[in-house]
Amino acid sequence: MKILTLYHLKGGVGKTAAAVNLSYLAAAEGRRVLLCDLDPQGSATYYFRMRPARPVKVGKLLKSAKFAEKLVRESDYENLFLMPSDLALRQLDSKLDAGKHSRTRLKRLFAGLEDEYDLVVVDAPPAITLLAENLFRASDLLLLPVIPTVLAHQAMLKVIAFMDDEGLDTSRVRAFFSLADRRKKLHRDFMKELGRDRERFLSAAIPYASAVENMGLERRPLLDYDRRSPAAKAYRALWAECATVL
Amino acid sequence: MKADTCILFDSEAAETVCLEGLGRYFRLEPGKAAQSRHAYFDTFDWRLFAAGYSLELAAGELRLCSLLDDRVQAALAWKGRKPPAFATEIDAGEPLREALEELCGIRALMKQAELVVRSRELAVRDAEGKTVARVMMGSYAFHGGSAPFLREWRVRPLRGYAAEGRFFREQAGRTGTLRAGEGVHPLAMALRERRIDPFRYAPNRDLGFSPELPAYLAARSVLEHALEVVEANEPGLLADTDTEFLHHYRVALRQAKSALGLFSEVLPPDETNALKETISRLARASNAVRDLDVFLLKRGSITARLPGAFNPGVDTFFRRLKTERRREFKKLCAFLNSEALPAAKLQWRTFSTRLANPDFSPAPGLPVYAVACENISRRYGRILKRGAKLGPGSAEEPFHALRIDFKKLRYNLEFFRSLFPGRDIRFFIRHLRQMQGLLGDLNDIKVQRDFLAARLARLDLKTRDSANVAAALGGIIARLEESSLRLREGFPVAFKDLSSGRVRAIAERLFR
Repeated sequence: MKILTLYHLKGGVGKTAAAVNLSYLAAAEGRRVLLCDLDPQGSATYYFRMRPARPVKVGKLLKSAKFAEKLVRESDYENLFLMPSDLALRQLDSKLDAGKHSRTRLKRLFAGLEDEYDLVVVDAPPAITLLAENLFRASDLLLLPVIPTVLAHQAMLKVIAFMDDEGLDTSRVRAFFSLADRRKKLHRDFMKELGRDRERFLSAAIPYASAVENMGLERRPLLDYDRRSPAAKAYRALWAECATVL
Repeated sequence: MKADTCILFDSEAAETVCLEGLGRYFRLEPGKAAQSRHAYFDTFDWRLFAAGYSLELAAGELRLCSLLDDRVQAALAWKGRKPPAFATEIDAGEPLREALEELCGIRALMKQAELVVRSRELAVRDAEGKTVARVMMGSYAFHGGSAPFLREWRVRPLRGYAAEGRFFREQAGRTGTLRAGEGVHPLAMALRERRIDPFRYAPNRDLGFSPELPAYLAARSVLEHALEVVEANEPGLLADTDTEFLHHYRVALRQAKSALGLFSEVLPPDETNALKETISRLARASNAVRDLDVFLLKRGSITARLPGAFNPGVDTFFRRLKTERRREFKKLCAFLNSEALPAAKLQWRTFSTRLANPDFSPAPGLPVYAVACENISRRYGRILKRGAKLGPGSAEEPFHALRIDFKKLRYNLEFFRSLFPGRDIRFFIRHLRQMQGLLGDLNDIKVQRDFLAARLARLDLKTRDSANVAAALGGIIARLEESSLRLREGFPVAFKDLSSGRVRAIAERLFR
């Protein structure tokens, strides 16, 4: 089982859209995929028209994979399951802090799901917290969506610097351009400049497109309702690269 | 689709009412619809069904499925080809062939039912538009335009939506009939609809005698059952569907003849002898075909380990046997289609009917238990006496006589098994079967060797083909001799097992 986390310090960079569409693509290939919506905002959960089946008890969730399994609900798509978000997930940091193995708790939790899934995709909230640190340690691939702007790039560098300081393996960190608007010179220049770093940046770039924004209205993965759009093609290319890394 | 509930409906109207009711609580979204023809195959005696499987040909695929949950056990693309009549017609090495060979043996596969299946997917969605359950709506009708005899919905709630699934079932259960799991397999429902009992044909059925039943009535049951088996096998025998029809037909004839001897005390002697002669005539008419069948079926084992140089002769010989079998089979068909068979069956049936009357029996008061004990203990005693005298160097004839004794003892035990404790009788039959197998093999070898020797004597050695055949026959006869010697050497040990210890103790206790 592999763990792919969509993370960024900055909000609104396209983490959730990427998590939803990458999960969909992985499941369509026949992998059993669990999408964990750990962002209390619950956008991924909304996209799949779900709500939690029962109140989430964060303390219990962190202790037992069995309890985590009880929260899982089947999506409308074959092989794709979701652990819906809940406002209670805002307590994750405090509960992690209060328990044993506070930095590796999630890694242990995911290990308990090994037999059930081939891939766990995590949609993480935007902050450097104990939860984020747990995800840095647990993930096989930490994927950062980067808007081709100065601030988004700075935020990415901060994440990598933090990981370096903590002695974490940054070779598992990859970035991709998100909400890229090729009509803007700034975006084009940034993509050209940063894209040279082949070690860090994947070549797929998700365009800024209304088709992606429509996910909020359609409440389903983009690939399910507009598979021919440039954005859909970009997600397919992104998944192909992720699959190679994983 | 793996369902956790099945809902059955009486009519299309009931389904519509149910859908309307459910529409108040859920958004029901129809999905893909399909129509396909499913042909189901099984042996004459329903071996696949009895073992819990169905073999179906649908959408260009031949698949063996479990009757319990319709799960595919083995499958094979089968497009534009005639359905296989035997497992051996499927390519070697295919899992489907291996499974069918094990389940069906040498019996032919026959089309037993053909259904038209209409299906439609239905997504059950909640207020948010999220699918909470999937339903496969199916209707099954016999091919040829009849109305569906089965309308079912297979329901699978999505994981995490158990409560919604329960509510859906409760609502649907108001109009339909709920069944847990996958429900009843369409083939089983089709058989029920057509009132076909797949287990009706049971040539070795326990006739369920009680100890005090008058023996003449027991004799009547045995004769009636044997006649039933004979008649059940006639169509398959005449169609030459597989060789087991003739085999079962002949076993039933032998059992009837054996019963006439076994119950001789309670049967009128003249009529009994006349019927015995008639049954013998029926059996004799099929001797040649059965001998050839056995030879052709055992080709593999008979010719195994023969040097490759004999192959041309072996091929020619078996080709000639096949031709001869065709000729003999025509003669058998002519006999079966003649007046002889109905006349024989009429005589048989009249005899059974008259047996219902105690006046027809010379000893109507004798209970079946007394006849059983006397016959079994006498036969077993004779076997012990005859068997003790035999060794590897003994002549073939006494072995043959001993085999007949064993066969008759086995028939006795099968007729009367309801009179004795099941566990003991099963133990006894199991040990008997082992010995009977050895003696049967010895007899088969003798018959085959004599058959080959007669063929060898008739050969015109002037042609090259015949010279090859002669060489092959010589090789086969030598191999048969070796096998016969090996079997006879093993006889004393096998016989000791039967004549001492627990088997003997059971016999002395049960049949005293």
